[in-house]
Amino acid sequence: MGRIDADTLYGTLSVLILKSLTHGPLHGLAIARHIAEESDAFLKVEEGALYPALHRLERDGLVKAEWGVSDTNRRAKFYALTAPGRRQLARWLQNWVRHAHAVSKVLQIAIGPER
Amino acid sequence: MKLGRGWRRPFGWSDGVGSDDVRDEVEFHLRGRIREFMAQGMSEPEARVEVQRRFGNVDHIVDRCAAIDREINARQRRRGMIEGLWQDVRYALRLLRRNPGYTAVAAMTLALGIGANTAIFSIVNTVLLRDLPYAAPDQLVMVWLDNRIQGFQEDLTSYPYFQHLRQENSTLADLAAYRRAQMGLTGVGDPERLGGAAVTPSFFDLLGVPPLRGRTFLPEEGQPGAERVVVLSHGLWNRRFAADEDVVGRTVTLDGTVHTVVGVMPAGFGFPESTDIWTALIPTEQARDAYGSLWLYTVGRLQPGTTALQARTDLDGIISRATQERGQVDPTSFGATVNPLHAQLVGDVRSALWILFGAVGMVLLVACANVANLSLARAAAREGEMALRIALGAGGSQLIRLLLTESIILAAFGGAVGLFVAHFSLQAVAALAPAELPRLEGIGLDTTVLSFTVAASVLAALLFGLVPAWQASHPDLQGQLREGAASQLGGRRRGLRRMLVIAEVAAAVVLLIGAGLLIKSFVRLHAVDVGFETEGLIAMQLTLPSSQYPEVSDVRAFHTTLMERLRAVPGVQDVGLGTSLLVGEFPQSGTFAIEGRTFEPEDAVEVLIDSADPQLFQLLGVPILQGRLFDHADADDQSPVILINQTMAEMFWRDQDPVGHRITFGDPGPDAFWFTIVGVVGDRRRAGLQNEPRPATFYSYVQYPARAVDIVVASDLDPTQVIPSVRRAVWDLDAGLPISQLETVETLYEVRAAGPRFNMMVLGLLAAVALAMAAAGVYGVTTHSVAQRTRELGLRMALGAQSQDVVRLVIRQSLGMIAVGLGIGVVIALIVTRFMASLIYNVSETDVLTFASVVAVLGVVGLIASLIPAVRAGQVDAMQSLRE
Repeated sequence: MGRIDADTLYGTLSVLILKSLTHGPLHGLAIARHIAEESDAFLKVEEGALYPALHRLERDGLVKAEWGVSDTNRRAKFYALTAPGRRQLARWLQNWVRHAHAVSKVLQIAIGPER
Repeated sequence: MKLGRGWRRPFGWSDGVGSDDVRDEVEFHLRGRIREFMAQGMSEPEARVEVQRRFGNVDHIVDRCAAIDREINARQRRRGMIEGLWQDVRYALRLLRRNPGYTAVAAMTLALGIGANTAIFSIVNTVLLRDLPYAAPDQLVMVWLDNRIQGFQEDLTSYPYFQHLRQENSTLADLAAYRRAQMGLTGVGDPERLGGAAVTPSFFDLLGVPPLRGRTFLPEEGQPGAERVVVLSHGLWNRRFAADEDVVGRTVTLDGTVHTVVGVMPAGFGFPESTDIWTALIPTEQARDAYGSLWLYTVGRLQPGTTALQARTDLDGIISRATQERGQVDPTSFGATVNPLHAQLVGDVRSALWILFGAVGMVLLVACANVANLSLARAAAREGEMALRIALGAGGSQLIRLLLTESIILAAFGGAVGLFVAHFSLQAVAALAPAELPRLEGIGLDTTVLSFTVAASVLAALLFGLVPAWQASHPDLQGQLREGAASQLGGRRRGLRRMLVIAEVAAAVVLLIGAGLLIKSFVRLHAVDVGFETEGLIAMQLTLPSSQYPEVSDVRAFHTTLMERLRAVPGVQDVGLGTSLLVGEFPQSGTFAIEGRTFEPEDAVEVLIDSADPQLFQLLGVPILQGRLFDHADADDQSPVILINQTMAEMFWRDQDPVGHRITFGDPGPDAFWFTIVGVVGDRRRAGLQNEPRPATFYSYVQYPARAVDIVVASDLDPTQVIPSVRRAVWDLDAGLPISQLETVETLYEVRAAGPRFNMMVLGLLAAVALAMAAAGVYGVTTHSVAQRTRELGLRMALGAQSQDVVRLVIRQSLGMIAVGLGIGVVIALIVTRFMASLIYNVSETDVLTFASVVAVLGVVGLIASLIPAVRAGQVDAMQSLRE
């Protein structure tokens, strides 16, 4: 179970990260803020989990990282979507929707007889 | 809000956690959050605790990120390396294209070396390394009688000994016997003589090869009185029976006896070598008890886990016991020899092939030395480039990589062209190879051979690339950048190049001496007195099928008419005929007894039994040593007469005159048929020139005509003119009669000498290549050193040296180099040629004449190679060279 949870988390987190980068490069803290605004679920997870996910996305070539200067004039690592990252995000979102449809269908059938 | 100094590192990182980058990244996050919380009114310590709580285990996360970063870095390094390599490749290709001369010469040199190696390796692989096509081939052994009386360690076995061995052994899973024979096939299209073998019934099961069609022999088919049956080879089935699916059950006539086909063996099965048809061996009554009648080959399968050595001890004991039981004979006079089948089959060629393989490896070394030499010469020209690269910050290892890339590309070219060289060489080999070279049918370039070629190319690249690469990457920077300075490195590199040439000369010496010994041996072999004249003689084989010539009188009539017709052919001087006359592959033989001497069946010695007319001996120039040849008195209806050869006379009549004695073949019972010895003739050699003559007898052909005969025609015309007339004479008499081996007798003997000739030609060719490469090396180094010393030589001449002095100076240096190479080569040759003892015939491995000639040849070639540049040096214009 634990493994599946971690994968799901990585999968979910990855989608959330990529999604937050669609409007331009962000550093880790900004990504964390962005995700926290969009999703309540993420609030329940330790914030640090964001970073290994980011590095893995970088390893897989879905984002690229570059050191830059933040609004507060500090050195910060900025992440940006790559072309493969953009394509992957589209694919993931599609699957997500399909999966959600399937799940809701199953649930309707299961619930049906009780009505 | 201002942050205190402590904020620079707000979290006491444990030692060795993460990497600086990851720590900075995480710190940025933590500090930002703390600032947020403090802005919301938390105190700094409170904010810090809250941020840490929300973030989770900082150390752990930092470590995980750092681990992922390491992966990223490794991947980037790999990609960078591949890109670097690709760059090197493109750069090297550009350079090679810019120097087409160098590239072509170097690649062709390597192609020769690698191609020759590939060709010889594929022979070695096919003949020596590949498994035999039988089940569990490692268990198969040949078993021989160790005949200590006559000194033959690998003699044939007699039937009773074979029975003892088969039944009493504890080390063999099975033992089968066979006899090889030429069999005349009739009744299916044209009559033909086939290579045949009569085998005991378990022969095929022992080898573990099932038939393709039908079955092999049943145990009862090896018993007297059994129906005669045959198994066909795949080749014969295709050739003579058009791969008829229903061939099983058909009958064929072999040597006049009807046999039923019971099976067909699969393609690739051919044991013993060149067998087309197998019959079931049925021993005669007489053979069952004749211990001394040695006529059987035996092949056995070891029990699992048993060695050939253990089997030998076992079988040796059995032979000794059996001999002892016979009484009369010393039990130690016979034993057993057991050889693994594979070793037996390749035994004769094994040493030859390994020697050729060694020689061809040496040629590759010479090729590498030559290419290294070329590269070194070129490196001198590129010294400036290298120095510049180093000055610009290229590391030594980077330069080595660049130069090695060049070498590997060159070697790859060489290897690719070498494959073509190998392919065509193999075709030549297949055409030229001696018949004794076994298992050649499957030869070609397979994956094993290709891997070998790749390995050889890489090895070559490292060999010829590493030294120049290392040299070039350590140039004398200051010396090079200082313009016009004669760098000391030039001297160092020259030294290296001289060493390479010395090595080439030494290798060429070894190869030439090896080839020289083989050539001398071959010449000696040809000079062996074969015991008869071969000049101007033409021979052919004729076999009269019993279907058309059923009676002895038919055979005699045909031959008499044919001989008359042949004598009438223009240009023909005389004609003779006899059986398995020349070098016959399957001579008839049998045991014999001498009238008046006690006959011990065990002591019987096999003698060859041939039939001949008197003209044959005269034609061949075989001397009559005692008594007389056959004459007209020895007619068909007169008492039978016989001739024996010198070896037989010496073996059995030492100081006596055998003429007038009578002998018989087989059992000298009351019904025995006695032949009177009328003469002793000189020995002939047969079955390979190296073999010693065997005891032999000759019937009078007139008294005992044979269906299969060799006919010899003497003529003073060119054979190409006579051969067609001879053929026409035969076909005028019988248009359907097959004629085999209508050749000059000399050609027949050439074929016999194919093995030695093959070795000689291959090694000779390799030696010639090595010699040419060594000469090119000497020439190259001398030319180069002259070019580099133009100023010095010019100065010498300006100071009064004559041009002869300069020539002498240059030549003296070259000759020094050649002399050292010669010395080293001779020493190596003295060691190496010892392994050639089995290949050379009647020549000492340290033959002084051969060594001396090789040294002289190489000396002269080396002198010429250095003379050209030396003379050119002597023509240097002193003033001009100084001005430069």
